[in-house]
Amino acid sequence: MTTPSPQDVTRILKDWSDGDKDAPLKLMPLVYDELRRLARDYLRRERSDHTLQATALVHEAYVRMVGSQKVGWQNRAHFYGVAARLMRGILVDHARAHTALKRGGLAQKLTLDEARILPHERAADLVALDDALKLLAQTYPRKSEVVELKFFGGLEAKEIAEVLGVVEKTVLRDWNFAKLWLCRELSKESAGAD
Amino acid sequence: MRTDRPEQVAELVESALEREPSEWGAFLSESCGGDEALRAEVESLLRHEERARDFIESPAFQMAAELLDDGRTELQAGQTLDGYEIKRPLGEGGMGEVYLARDVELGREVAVKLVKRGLGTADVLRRFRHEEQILASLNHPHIARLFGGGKTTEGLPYFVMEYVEGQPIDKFCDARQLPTAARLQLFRKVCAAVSYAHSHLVVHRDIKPSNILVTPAGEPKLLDFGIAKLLDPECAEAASHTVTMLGVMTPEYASPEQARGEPVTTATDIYSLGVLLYELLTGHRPYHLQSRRPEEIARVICEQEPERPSKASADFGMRNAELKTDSANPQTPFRNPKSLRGDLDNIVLLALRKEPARRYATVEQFSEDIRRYLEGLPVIARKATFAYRAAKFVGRNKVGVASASLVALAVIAGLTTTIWQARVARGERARAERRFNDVRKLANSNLFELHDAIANLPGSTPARELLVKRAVEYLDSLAQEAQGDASLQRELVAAYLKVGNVQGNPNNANLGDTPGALDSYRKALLIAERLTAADPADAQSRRFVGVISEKMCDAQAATGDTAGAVESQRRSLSIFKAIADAAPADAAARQSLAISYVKLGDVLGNANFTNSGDEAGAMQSYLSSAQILESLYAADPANPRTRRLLGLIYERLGTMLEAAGRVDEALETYRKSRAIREPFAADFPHDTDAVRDAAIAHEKIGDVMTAKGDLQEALESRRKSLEIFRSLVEADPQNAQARQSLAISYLHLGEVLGDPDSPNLGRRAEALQQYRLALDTLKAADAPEILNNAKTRETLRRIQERMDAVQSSSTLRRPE
Repeated sequence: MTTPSPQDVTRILKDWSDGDKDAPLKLMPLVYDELRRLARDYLRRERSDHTLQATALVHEAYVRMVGSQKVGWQNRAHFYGVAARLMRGILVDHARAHTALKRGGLAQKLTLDEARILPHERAADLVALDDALKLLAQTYPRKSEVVELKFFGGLEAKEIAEVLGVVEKTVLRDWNFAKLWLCRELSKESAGAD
Repeated sequence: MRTDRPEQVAELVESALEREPSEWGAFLSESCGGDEALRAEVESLLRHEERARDFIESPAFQMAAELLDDGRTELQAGQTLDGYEIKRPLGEGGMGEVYLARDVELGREVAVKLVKRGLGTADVLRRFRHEEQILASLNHPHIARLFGGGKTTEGLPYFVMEYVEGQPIDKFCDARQLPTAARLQLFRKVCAAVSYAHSHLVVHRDIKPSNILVTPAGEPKLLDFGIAKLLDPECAEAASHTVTMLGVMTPEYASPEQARGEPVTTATDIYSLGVLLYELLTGHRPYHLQSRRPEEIARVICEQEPERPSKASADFGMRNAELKTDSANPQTPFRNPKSLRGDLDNIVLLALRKEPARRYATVEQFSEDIRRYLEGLPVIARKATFAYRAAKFVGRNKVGVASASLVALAVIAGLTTTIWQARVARGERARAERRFNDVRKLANSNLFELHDAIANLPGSTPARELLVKRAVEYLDSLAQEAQGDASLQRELVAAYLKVGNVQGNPNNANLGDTPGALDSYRKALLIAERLTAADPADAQSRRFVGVISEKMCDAQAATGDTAGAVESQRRSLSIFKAIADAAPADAAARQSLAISYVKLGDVLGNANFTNSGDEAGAMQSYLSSAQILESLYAADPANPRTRRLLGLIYERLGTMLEAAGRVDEALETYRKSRAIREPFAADFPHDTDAVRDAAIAHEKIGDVMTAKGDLQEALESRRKSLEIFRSLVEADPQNAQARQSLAISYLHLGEVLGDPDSPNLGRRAEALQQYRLALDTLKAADAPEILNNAKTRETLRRIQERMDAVQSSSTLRRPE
């Protein structure tokens, strides 16, 4: 395995801006690898709780993979978008596998409240959230993307605004609405598929 | 119900969210016109407003880390790097993976640190060659030696250094539950190493707990001296350099100058040492970084003033009522906010000054100030803080009452103003809530800070009473306003609990107003129970019910209401039992439950505590506790807390058996206790409590052996416990508790040797000698003043009485 240098990543990002349709495909495996590595770090390193909770993996990945290379804001936005999508994919895939294992594949709908839920229960929540998010995307694609970037990508409103090319206030409104919508969706009883 | 106008629904919901809930009705009537379907859809979303507030607000990282960890490493066991054979991975640091390896030629074990991909700029190795000589020449007992460096076939640079077997300093301190003084002494050794390196013109640049390992013998070793500099691309421009460096470093330990990309000096290490000390003392880092954006981190580090350590520690852990051994003295305070207050606060904050020039001038000066603190001498860092000023103000005015009351009133006046301002600002709900939080913080901090500051001053009691009275009034009025606001109610629970502790919890400095304390506890309990009833999933409030009930048990026992105490403790136990049952794999929850059973047993029928006389119930409860602890011990025999508690429960059980006259069983149980406590103390020689527990285990066996008339073994046990107590006093001459124990230990040894009123060996002269040593121990010139208390006076009286007994019996036998 060769190590991607910041120059490589930057070049892919620039190619992307220049219209290279394959750029996301080239970038994904690199980012994926870096995210896994970072995640491992957090487990083995100073894993005091607030560090973990307040840390955005994708920021860290960005700093490591692009670092001080000069890239425009669109490139940065591309990177964040890819990273957040990957995070969601990785997490939900794992959670799905985990849930299938634990519960015989039955997706249970539970509340997603940080403080109260045991880790193994959260896998099921994540699967339910992902399903709800897909439903949300059918009607409100941008709002669903905001959730992906914020919850899975750990980005802040300002950065999300950059990625999506909207003003920050729109991001906040989208976020608040999406939370209500998702809460309603998740609170429906298991019979409530519509 | 659904509508086919999603944009309109979203628009209305979003606009409603920008208004107060009370205005929603009018707003929707106006905006929806008569469109009932639209209105219904909007309302069905808005109904979730309360729940949605905290929903998915914290990103999914923690779980991400757990799910993503697939255990792959860069190097594999058996692989060889320039004469170093890789054995196994040891862990990962900020800059890369670390492996245990064997130097094939020299046959010694070394650590190989592989620099992470992305940080491995081509320059690292070149710079390393440049610095190699200096770094390799650092030779200090507390610095891990650097042996060399190289590059893997994939081009990743690595460093080879002394392999240190140990734990990161923060984990070491926590695992052994080191008291503050021991933490400070350990920290001073770290300072010595840094100071040595500074004298060789090497700055560490990346001091943090994971870079300081402590060996099982308690000796710290600093890793990675000078390595950070090698990774620091000097050529890069300042701004991007900051970004890169913060990426490598744990940002919480970075100094303002590092965050700004300014030159790094020895003052940088002083700052990072300050962060380290802060964390060792409080369990927190000085800043709570909410963001990983480099610019934001830099802003916080450069601009935000850290909270005083004593305050940071005051919020730390609410169930601090740990258990005592039968011999009744409170444990050494652990992270006691009070001991952090004042000088220690100032010392830490002086090291953490934003401007390098305003910190301690040298690491040595920093370390020296800590020594002065430890010895009770004035420190350089002393500064008039609020509490210090208040204490002095009250202290100067001997009349006391009036002036102290003035201070109290000033504090209350401050509160009232803020409440009023909060009310005025109530136009916007979110802002008002934030104000409320401020008020709450202010109330907690000033109130309790002031109380503790004046607690030891003569004449301050009326002021403290007034303070608490006002606090209660304040909380009562807040409680009225908190209806329907769950988060504020939770804060109220915490505040009432604190007030109750100050009023009359026998386990801390208090006003002796036990009925008042019970009153506050009841208020806290009422709110917590209501919160639990409203939301059975509210784990925090349920936990509160458990903690409050336990405190109530303490207070009720103190007033002699043993029936009430038992009832409270049973309620507390049921909560901790439910928590433990819900998470069978959670060892901490099960330990917690074991503690609950111990406390229940104590209050049911242990003669060493105020109890309700139900010895059988106590025994049963202790057995439940023992059962839990034994299974925990079987699963994880290395867990320090389990070992500590298991030693304790065997002691408790032994006490009950002994009291019931079942001497042989008692002896067997005490021996089990000793079998746990002796090796535990050997494993944690710096843990005063562990060492003390081992001594008590010997004492107990001595008691039983004396009763059985096996005086040789009794003597043996007495000698062993005495030896341990003596070492404790030698290690810390200021420790009043250790001194008392040592004196009692001499007394007991004397009694076995030759006390005419109990089974003895007839060695009267030696007995007298022990009694004299007991007296000397309590009356020594360096004995702390704190020894002037009831227990010491009682001990002195008893020693005198025993001396007289021996002397008079000797006189009778030796007619002269």
